[in-house]
Amino acid sequence: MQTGGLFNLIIYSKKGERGDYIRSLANKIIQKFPSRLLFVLVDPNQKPDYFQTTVSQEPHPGHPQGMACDSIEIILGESAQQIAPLLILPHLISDLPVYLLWMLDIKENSLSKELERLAQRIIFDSEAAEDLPAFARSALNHYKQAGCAIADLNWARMESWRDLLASTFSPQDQLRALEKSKEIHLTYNMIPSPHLCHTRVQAIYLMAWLASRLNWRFEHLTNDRKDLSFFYTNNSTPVIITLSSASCTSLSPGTIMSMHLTTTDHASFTFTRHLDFPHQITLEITTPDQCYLPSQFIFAKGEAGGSLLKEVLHKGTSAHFLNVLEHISQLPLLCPNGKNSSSQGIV
Amino acid sequence: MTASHPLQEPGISSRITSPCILIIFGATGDLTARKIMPALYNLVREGQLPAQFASVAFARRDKNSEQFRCEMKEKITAFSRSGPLEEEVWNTFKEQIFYHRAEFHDDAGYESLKRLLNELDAKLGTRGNRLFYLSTQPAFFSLICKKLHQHQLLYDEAKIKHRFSRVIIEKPFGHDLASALALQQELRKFLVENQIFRIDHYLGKETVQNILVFRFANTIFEHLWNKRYVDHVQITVAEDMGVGTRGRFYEEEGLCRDILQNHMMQLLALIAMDPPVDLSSDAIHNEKVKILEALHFCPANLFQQTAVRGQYGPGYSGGRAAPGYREEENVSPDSLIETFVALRLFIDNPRWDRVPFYLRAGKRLPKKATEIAVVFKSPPEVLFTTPQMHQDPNVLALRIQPDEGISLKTNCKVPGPSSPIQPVKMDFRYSSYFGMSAPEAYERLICDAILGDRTLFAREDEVMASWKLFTPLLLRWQQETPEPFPNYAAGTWGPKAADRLMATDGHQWRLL
Repeated sequence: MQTGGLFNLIIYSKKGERGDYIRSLANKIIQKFPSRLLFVLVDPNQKPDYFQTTVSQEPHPGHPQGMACDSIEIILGESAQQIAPLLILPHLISDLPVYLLWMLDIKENSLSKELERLAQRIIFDSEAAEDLPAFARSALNHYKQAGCAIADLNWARMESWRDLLASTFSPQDQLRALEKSKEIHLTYNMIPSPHLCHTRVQAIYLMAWLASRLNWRFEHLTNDRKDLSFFYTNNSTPVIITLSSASCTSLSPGTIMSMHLTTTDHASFTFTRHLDFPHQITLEITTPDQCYLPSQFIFAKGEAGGSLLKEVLHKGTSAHFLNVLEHISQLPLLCPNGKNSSSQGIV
Repeated sequence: MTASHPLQEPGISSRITSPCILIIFGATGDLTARKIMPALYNLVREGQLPAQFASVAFARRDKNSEQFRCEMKEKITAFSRSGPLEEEVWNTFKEQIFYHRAEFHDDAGYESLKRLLNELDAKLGTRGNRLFYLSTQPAFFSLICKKLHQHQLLYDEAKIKHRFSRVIIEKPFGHDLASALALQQELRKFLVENQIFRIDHYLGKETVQNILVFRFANTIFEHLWNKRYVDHVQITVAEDMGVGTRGRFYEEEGLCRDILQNHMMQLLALIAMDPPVDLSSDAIHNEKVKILEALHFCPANLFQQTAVRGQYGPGYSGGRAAPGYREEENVSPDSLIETFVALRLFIDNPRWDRVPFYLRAGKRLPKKATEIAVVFKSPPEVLFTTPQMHQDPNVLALRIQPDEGISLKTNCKVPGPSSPIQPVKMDFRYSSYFGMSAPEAYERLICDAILGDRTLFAREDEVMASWKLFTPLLLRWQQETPEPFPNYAAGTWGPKAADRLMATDGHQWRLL
């Protein structure tokens, strides 16, 4: 059987945590793009210096040429992590790019420098972050120090929303409407899954993207039981962005369910996700002079892993993403799961 | 959208298409059902069309929007690349489809179209942007544009900047040089060149777009890409099908106008052009035009030595008996129309001086295959001189369709003490590396037209240069009776004269 390889993909995670989810992501990738998969799984239940490498082949079901991908699994005890690069090196396919999917929190700068040096691109997973501003600061530090491209799975998951907003507000008069925003209300799905429990991150990313792109200045935030409100100023005009949680078992955790925007001159833009057809977004636009018929938009019908695929293949680092990280890094500590237990949600 | 839009990131963000209405003239035809509507459906499915979008079918047959939607649902189910129809996508898309019954010459039809478009603008926020797709017989192109102009459906680009009106024109653009010039002159009364999108669906194919990437993003090939190292180039567009339902079209146009004058000239231009100064539309077109203008038959006007035409007779295709061209529907029983062409062309520039470019295209050939093969010169026979050490020339083959990919034939020592030489192939297949189904050419081209990107559309001077080359040949063929037709059996690689054309130069066609 022919083995194929477009790139080397190192997936670094903890054994047992989100294992099925990670496997399903990896399978989606190799179904689309044959590549060499290297799973590095830290197992706290093993002796600290334990390590084991297993090599196997993942066949492509239904591939016309009988293609297979090499899959290398490296299990490490806690202290054996330092030798991970040495275990990985012999298994890399030469001349092909190395992408590192880092599925652990990086607030303590835990990403090994040797691993970082191997990678042309590091894809973080902000889902693993307990402290989002600290995650943002660490990601920026890695970008500045390692010099390789960076991305984040949750940033990738927001791509369809970013495209829809860019498209909706693309003509100059519509852009002016966005610049006159007075209130934005974002609703996200707070129902977690065993794999995704930090349900607020995508909403925070979308908010931070808008605020950073439109040069809004963060002032303060308030938190009540259900809503988190961020107060910005656009020049001297106040803008409030409220993140509200809602429950929907049919949607993925953290999915943005709706966005409602009102402007200082009383125009309103409402984007609502169809709960039964989650790729379908209804857009309603009203102005004091006109009320348009609702229009429908289909988010790219990406399968699970679609956002990861895009991040793996995109080159370079998005300047918008860096802006978002800068913006978030300056926010107060946020509990990203939408169930902030502190009295104010701010530390 | 300008590059400075704060929500868009050049080179990183997805391409943002503006709100618009696509109006398809001749919408009850095969092209709409097989290509355009499935392409629109997939664009909606991939989130590549704006929310504020509508398509209006303009045609003569009496039906309403609901009937047309039902028909399109069936067709999309049958022809979409993305498999079974997804109800969620279809339910969104169907609300964006409207049918407008009218005759192409009828002023009232255009007035009612205008009212419909204005209503849709008001209801859907499509902002007055219009993309007219002329999927009609060529005879209607100028009439439709004239009527659109008369009814203020085409905007004066010099005065109106905040909305667009563009026209996509299907091939063939003219019947010969004179008619192409006349058509261009007519169109220019109503449109500026930036509004005209001459579609050549070959340019929308991923493999064709990859030609420039392959040539100019890889250092190792570019300095071999010239007369010093290249012996000759073969371009083949082979179809195993007959003319099918296109008999009437073929009787008027023939294969040379259907395939050679447009698709194959674009392939040739891309494979032979010099690097553009940048990747802008104009820079690429400028280089292509230089090639098309430098093309010539040699010896000039002695077409019997440089061009072969053929017509298929009865034979076998896919293991079944196949009728000859003259037995096809809407074809004259004594037709002299060509269904096969083989040519030898030269490019009069320093890079390609005296390098022959052989082109062959035909219907009812043994298989469907489009390929560009660059055949390199043989190495000097100094070292490997014994018969068992015969060296094949290196061949770089770009397979455009099917089995899309690139292969390089090299010579290799067979293991063992006797050291015979054996040609081997290094083969790259798109399907092995990029398993996902690639977008259809029409998806890319419609999207580009909405964006106003003309890179993958033929420019006026390209079309005219191509007609300038082919018109004398077509005229000669019109005046001369060909050798007895049919002159090749269905399921064979064309007439013997095509092989002789190569043999006189000491070459032979590649067996595909």
